[in-house]
Amino acid sequence: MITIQNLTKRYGDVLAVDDISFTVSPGNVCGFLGPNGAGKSTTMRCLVGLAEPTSGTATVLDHRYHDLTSPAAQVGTMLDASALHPGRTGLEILTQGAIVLGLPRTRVREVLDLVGLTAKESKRRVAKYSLGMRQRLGIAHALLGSPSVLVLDEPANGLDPAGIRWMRGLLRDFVSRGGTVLLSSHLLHEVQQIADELVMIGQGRIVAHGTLAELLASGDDLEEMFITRTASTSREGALS
Amino acid sequence: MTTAPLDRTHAQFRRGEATPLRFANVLTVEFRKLLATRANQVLALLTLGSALVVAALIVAFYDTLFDGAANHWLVGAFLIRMPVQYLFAPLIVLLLTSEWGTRSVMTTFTLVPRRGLIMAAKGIVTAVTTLVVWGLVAGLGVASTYLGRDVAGMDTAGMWIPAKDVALDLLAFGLFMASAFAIALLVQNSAAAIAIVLVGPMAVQILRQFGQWMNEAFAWIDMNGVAQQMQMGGDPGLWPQLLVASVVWVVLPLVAGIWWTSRREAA
Repeated sequence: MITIQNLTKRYGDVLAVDDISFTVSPGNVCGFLGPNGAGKSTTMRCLVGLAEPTSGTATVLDHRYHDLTSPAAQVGTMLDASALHPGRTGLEILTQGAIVLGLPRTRVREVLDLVGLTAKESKRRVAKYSLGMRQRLGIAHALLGSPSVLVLDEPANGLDPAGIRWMRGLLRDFVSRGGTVLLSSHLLHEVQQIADELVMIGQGRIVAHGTLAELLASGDDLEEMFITRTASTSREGALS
Repeated sequence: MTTAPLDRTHAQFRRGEATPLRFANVLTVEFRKLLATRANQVLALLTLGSALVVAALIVAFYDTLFDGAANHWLVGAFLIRMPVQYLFAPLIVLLLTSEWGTRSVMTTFTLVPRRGLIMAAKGIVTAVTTLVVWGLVAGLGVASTYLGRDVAGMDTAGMWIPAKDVALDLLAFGLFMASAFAIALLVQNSAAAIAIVLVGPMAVQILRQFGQWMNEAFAWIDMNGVAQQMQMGGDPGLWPQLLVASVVWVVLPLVAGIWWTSRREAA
């Protein structure tokens, strides 16, 4: 369960996240959709304790991230493919994660197999990885501790169609066993294929929220809804 | 890429049953990080290599370098420490700054959200490796002085290794590395921190050359220079200057660095 309640984050005069609230229940993939600069990544950083909210709360499994027993074992996070040190090998990054979480080293090989990175590839430095390989390594790192919640920022970025299909299968299997997924993207088509529900955000505010069926039942084309609602928020912000 | 299998070991989610983080594990990983990149490995090899090269040169050319020098262990150790401290200090800086520069700090702080644990672990790594490197320099200093004098046909019996000199030498080396740690923690930028750590003390020592007043005034912030003076002359009157300089170069940036690292958004 992920609960965002009246979350606001301000950087000086800039209101990056403006009083947003939504919940993601177990067994669901929630697509967090918005254009670049809408506040998706800021919201996720507040959720996993990398940024302090100005007001409001962001909790996961009914706790603040810091207050979880072993946060990274319970919540798998992938916020940026570049958050992996380029000077280290993929194997070293996963091994360090396994050591911190108190996991056996065999878990490293398991997650590498899961994301399709070979032993040879894992021994190369991340600086030599393609974007798709970094994404897969990031997902492997998120899955190390067998978490029940996944927080993924643009996870399909850099993946080819086969990779996107693989990720869809992985996430569907994950939620079918009761897992919770919050994934962000600025690509509607990609999110539509994976998510059960959507939260659309524009200029820091939620502009649409509901299951895919509910949003489609309104009669509006989702793409049109995404473009007009996030753009209209931007115009309102400019006028105020 | 395979489309199967999915995670068979995912059978049991950790719903609040997770094992709490152990500091020992965090510390182990911080030790690993010290040599986990090629840049750090090169710096470590250069540190070791420079110490061995200088030691070998001392043995080969002792009479040329130190004709008339006393049979004191610091004679060799001083020379060996010069390249070592300028190669080892950047390694300490990178331990702290490279994660911010590469954004891998996001990974670190989601793995270990309590940032104090990370800072404490990095502090321990710095302290332990500083002690090890100092021990290496001290040991090579003693060995190269002894062997150098032997090769040069000088008297080797009764080498002076006073406990006070050992303590002062360790203090001087330790303070320099502590300042590298503290400044890196505050600045969080590799290039800037290395520049401040290496060039800052040099700049102060240069300023002390411009007259008596400048020499005395800037002594209060010349941590390295004052420590060196105390080793050579054992001047007890310089302790206040060393204390104040240590506050400027170590304590203040450390306190500010801990505060800033605890609050800064990791993005």
